[in-house]
Amino acid sequence: MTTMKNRSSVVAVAGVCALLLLGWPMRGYSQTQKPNGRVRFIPKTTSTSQASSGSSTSAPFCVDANITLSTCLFNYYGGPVISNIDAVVVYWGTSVSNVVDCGGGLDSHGNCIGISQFHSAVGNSTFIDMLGEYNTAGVDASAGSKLGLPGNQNIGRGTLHPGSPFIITPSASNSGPKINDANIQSELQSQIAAGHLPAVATDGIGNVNTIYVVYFPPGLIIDDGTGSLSCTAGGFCAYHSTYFNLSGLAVPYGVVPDFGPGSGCDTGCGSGTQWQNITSTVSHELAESITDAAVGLPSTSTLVFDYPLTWYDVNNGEIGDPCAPFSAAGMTFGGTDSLQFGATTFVVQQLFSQKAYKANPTAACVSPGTPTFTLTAPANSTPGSPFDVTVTANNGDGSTYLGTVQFTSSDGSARLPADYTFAATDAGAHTFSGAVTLNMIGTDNLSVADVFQASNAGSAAINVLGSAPLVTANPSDTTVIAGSTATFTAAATGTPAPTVQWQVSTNGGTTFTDIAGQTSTTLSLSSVVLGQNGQKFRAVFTNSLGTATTTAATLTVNSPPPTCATDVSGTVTVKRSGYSYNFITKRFVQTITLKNNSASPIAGPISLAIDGLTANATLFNSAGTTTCAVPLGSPYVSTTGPPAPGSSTSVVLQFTDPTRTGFNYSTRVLAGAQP
Amino acid sequence: MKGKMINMKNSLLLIVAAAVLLFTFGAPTSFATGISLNVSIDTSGLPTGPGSEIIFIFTDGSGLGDANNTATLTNFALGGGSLGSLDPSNSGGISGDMSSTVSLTDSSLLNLFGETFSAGTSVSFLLNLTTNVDAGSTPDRFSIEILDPSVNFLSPSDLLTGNLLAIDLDSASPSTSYQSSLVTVSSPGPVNTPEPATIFLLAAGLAAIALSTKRPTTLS
Repeated sequence: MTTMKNRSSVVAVAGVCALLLLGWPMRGYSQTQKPNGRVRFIPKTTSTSQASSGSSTSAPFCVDANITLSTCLFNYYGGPVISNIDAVVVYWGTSVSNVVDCGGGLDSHGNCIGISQFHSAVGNSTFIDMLGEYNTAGVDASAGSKLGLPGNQNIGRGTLHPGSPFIITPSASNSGPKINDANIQSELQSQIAAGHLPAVATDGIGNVNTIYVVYFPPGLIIDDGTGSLSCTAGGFCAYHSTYFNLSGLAVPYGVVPDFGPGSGCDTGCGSGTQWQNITSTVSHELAESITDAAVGLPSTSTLVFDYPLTWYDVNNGEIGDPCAPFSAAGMTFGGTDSLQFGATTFVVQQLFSQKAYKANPTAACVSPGTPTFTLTAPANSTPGSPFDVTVTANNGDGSTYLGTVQFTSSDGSARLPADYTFAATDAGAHTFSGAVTLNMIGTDNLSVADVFQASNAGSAAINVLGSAPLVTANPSDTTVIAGSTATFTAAATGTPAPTVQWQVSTNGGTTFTDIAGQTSTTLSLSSVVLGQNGQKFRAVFTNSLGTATTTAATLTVNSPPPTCATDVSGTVTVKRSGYSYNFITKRFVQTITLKNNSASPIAGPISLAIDGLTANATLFNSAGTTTCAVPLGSPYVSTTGPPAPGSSTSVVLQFTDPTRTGFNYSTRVLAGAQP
Repeated sequence: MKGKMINMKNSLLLIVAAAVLLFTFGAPTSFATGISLNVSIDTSGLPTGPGSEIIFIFTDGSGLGDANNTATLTNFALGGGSLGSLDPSNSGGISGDMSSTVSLTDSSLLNLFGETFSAGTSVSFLLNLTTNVDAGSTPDRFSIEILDPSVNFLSPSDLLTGNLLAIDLDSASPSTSYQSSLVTVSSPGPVNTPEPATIFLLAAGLAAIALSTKRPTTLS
């Protein structure tokens, strides 16, 4: 930190020339007005003086050894911040940022793959969280609003725009060994209009989220519009600016010249490696773009500091400037720090914290925190029982954690909350209600950490208590009619909740086998058959702590009750013959004629029941007595073949009457197999 | 006076006799409607010689023996055969024999007349049958069976009943069935057959007439 060679300066010089050349509208300002100065890095060699471009706003840094509170005051001028940065990485041509130690290596054009990775990481890290103190929502005069009016934006994390990097081919008019800021703005406008670059995205209230970070190829000299040149003494390492587009939106962009060997920026823009210097420099510009998004636009007819500036210190510039690493006698503040993101470590620049400054001016330059998580969970649980956990995140720098956390557990079967991204309203603490379920008996560990960024994980040890199954209800013996459904039920307690498997024994309970698919506490056997009579059933309850088996219940299957023959006497005419008397057999013989008087056939067989036969007589040729159709006990004779409608059939009755005293009877005509 | 008295007695008897006859023959209810059938049965299939038996059976459909019908068989001819003796098991309301007249009345459930004979070529007779319909659903039935000397039915096709002829008295035109291969039935037409009770009245009337004619008539 003490050997830094770079620092930024505030340049409040006119960029109006470029704007005039392009003829862009300038909201509410005359074309004679000058834009606010750009922020840039100036390569340092041995000079300890501030490499100013002549701005009258150059002033000693507030983080000087002789600082006073009044020398470092960031005011809110009413301009926009970037709510959620949408970083569009743009390559000016096919070969840019020819750094030798590029993170992630080089692509086929020699471009540093790590550039996009860096933007993806830094936009979704505590580096962004640090900027939360520069939210404009609720800022008023007492909190530093220069205009006395509250803003309406909060700064949250952002993303790398999908598809980055976007390689553009500049037009001839914007090409050459030396270009200026007007060329850059012109080219961006053209490329966006042509659809080669993503359109400008805005937040929910119309402020721009997109920033176009343009990386340039080796050998190209960039004039920032004030005569200051890239990577040269008295020039800059990078800068960010803004222009109005045709829709009136203030579009931020960043300019990053080549940091490769011999570029000048390779040695003049930091004390680290080329790759470290480029990420440090770009992080500086990104932080300032987010907190002072419209810096490049004219403010007033005179060069006073006013809207559309956002957060600005008239003495020190933007929030990156006071903390830019530099090496100067007595100036040991500021510097760089590491941002661990996944397996990659990026170097980023410290940023000025007004809160930290007020607490301790010598500690005003802060680094992105490494989030520390505290996980609050119940000491005990039971398998399968959901419980609440609360995650408290502490960035360590006082900023509010806005990252995404992920849970892990030593219980591989645990149910855990989905990855969760903290919102500003969480204020660093979030409760996941009923979101965790542990199943493994014993002490289970639960951890939570940032998904991407290195963090101090929060963890908790939860004692998961359990018990072996205990049968609380045995199945009961069941009797059913064949063809119906037999049901057995059983119950057991246990933690974790035991599973159940029904078993059957077909050998009187000697052995049991599992019944496939019967795994609920109720066993339903549909359409049981007589062959299942006597089978035994039991349930086996199992959990990780043991097994419990119910007693066996016996299934009794009875035959279904007979379906009685139907009395069709009402539709059948019964005509009796007289009695013949067989002299040989001594039996009285009578023929009965049955005529179907209905319009439908009679389902056979047809039985003629002889009811109330006089006691002295017997129906000799009875086929049996009625056992189903009431009255029971009446002898009957049967005939096959149901008569068709209107046709007749006959049966013969043979009576014995040894007394010959006479007999009498009545008849029933029964249709069906069970008379 | 005595003669007058006698004449008066005779006159009274004549009046009674006339009244009885009038009641017997003149009243519509004195005679039941009946049928008269000439019946001939081919007995050539029977072995020659004695031992065959013809059986006339009259069953009461009411089962109570209501005696409301009578079968009267006359004019027997045996086709060269000869009569034997009455079956000892004859029972019920029967009278007579085949030498003259056989009468069966349904005065009991089973009224059975059997008489043996030596078979000739046929047995024929005149059957007069009243046709009163019994109360209830079972009619009175008149039937004929013939047994050979070995006590087998002559009818080969109805071993269940052995009936050669069966007449159910279920209407004024009774249902008649017979073994056409053995039995010939012809109807001489309907006749008025006296009912049993009417016969007694007839006999009383004729007796009164006889008494009145045999007593001398004295005139002064």
